[in-house]
Amino acid sequence: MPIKLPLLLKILVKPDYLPDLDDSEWDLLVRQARASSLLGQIYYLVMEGGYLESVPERVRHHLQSENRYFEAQKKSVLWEIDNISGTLAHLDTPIILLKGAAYLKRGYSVSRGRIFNDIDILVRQDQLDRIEASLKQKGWLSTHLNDYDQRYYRQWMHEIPPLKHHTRGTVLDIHHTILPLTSSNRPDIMKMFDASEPLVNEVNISVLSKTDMFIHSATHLFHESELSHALRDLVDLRLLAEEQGSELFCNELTNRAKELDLSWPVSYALYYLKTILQYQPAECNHDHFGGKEEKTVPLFLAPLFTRAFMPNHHSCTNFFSHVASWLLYIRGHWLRMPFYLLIPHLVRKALARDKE
Amino acid sequence: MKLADISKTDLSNRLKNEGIRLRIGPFVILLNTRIEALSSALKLLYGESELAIDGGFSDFHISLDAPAGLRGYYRPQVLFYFDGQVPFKPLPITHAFPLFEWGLNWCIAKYVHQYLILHAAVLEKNNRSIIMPGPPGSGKSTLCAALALRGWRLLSDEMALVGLEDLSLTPVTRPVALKNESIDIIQRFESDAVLGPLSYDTSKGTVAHLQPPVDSMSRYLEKSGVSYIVMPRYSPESSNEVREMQQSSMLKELIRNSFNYNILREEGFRTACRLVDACGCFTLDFNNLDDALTSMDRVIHNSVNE
Repeated sequence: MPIKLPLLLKILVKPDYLPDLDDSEWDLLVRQARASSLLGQIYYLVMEGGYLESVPERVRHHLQSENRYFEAQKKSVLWEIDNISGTLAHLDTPIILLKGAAYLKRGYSVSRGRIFNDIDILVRQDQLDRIEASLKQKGWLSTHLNDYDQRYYRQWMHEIPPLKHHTRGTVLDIHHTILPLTSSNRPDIMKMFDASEPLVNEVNISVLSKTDMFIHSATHLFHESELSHALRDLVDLRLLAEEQGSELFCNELTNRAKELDLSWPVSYALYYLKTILQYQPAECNHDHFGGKEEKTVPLFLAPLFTRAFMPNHHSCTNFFSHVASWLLYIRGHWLRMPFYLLIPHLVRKALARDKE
Repeated sequence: MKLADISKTDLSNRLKNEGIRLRIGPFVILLNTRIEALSSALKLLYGESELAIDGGFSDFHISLDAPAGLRGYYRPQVLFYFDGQVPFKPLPITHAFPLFEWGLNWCIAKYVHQYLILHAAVLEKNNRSIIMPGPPGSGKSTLCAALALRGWRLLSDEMALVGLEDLSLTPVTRPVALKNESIDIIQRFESDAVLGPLSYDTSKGTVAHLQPPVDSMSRYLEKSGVSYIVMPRYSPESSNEVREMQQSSMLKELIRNSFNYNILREEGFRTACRLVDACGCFTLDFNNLDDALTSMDRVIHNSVNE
């Protein structure tokens, strides 16, 4: 299946093209990037390359506005983290920041320009009740108030129903493991807790180790049922891998993935980093995963994901994209729950949507 | 070339196919629609807008169309598409023009942060510009329409775009949205006023838009300095009175009426502070347009206290 490489992918692979874009190419790039949540990334590629002068003025305004939006989000997320940390300090239990919040707090390059909606934290399951109670006292209220949704989250999911701050509207996702309880993959989360790293100058805030961050991000991406941010997530993985900066990274990654029983999402990640973004971490090859690369991702699945990694913009979608995202939606749910739970759940969701 | 220079058939063909690139203030909007009534409303209300040449960078790609399926025919609806995404719920098709206006406001408020954006009208006369912030019901739009019809240059009815560095006001001249009884008031005030189609039962009641003055539209690239900030307060019981307003109270009002203060943060605060420092700040109580206009003239002639 020949796919003409979308402009956004060309630029992500080779940012040196940026100064040569004309106005109508910029028009397309800004739209593809905005639709894929990667406009902030484009701003940083422009700044890193020193290309700002060559960007048409109109476009520059959009890039700089995106950056202003990012800077505002960054400040408010860092403030919320301090606030959450303070609220939970008396419980004397570690709060592990996940994804966007962790990248920001660590100051990793992956955080630059990355817009996200919710703050995700990982806590010990036996501390959930105390944590939830303390947060509720400080104005964090449970969303999803109907009984079915509450039960769905608490019995089956890896997180409790998201909390929302009643005045600020910030949404907090509290996880106690990284995959749904009903999922066929059940990594031992205590291993991730044990390897987590406390942050300097923080009482109770930690983050996952660099290697675990990569594994967590890859695991999420390839378990996801709605892949509207797939390309952004893949760019995250590249930046996380670059952040490692060690030639031992691939060995560490392989061993750790095996230890956590999460080898397949990691090898999928390496496969797509190579095929979509033409990026391979130093010293990485597929011998690390004991197989030839074409065998890593099953034949029927590979083109579906390739589609999902195209920019989420109508200039890059066709009929097949819709089929692919539908099949991946089913697959994502399949991985989350066995089908005797899944079918009634989806029927229920569909009926609830009709009622709205 | 101006929008009005294209024939009706040509315009609706272009809107259905490659779209038109409309210059609205500092922005270029690529617009598509298959809705004939919207095409006519645009020709009437944005007739004086310049068209940008084809190709090149458009700030916003907007289209308005009927949803696929039944709602294209049975009690037909209209959807606002921002580059293929649908940020709002559908509205009855008769609300297509107001939906375009609200949608464009949304695009600007969400994606344009090189200005401090205030929910305010901006008008200018004799090189003196006035920012008029005002919540709904303050009579801001009605007063703005009246001033525009009496020779003031209209820079904006909805959004003041304030330069972060130089406090300059960038015009984004668009039709003035009139609601409910304001529509009659303006028609009585000036029988030559050109109004677009009436949209009934919108979330804001009945809405109609006033065609902006030709001169204001043609000066869409001409920035202006700012001299005064006036808070209009309409009430049938109040007397006509202009009063000086404390800078600190005005600062609070500006912040309350800003679309992107939460994003600009310190930069926004500093800009708002400099703005109230640089301007005379007034409240304007009024119960009829003629007296309000006289009061506005007194403001720009520095004769408030005389």
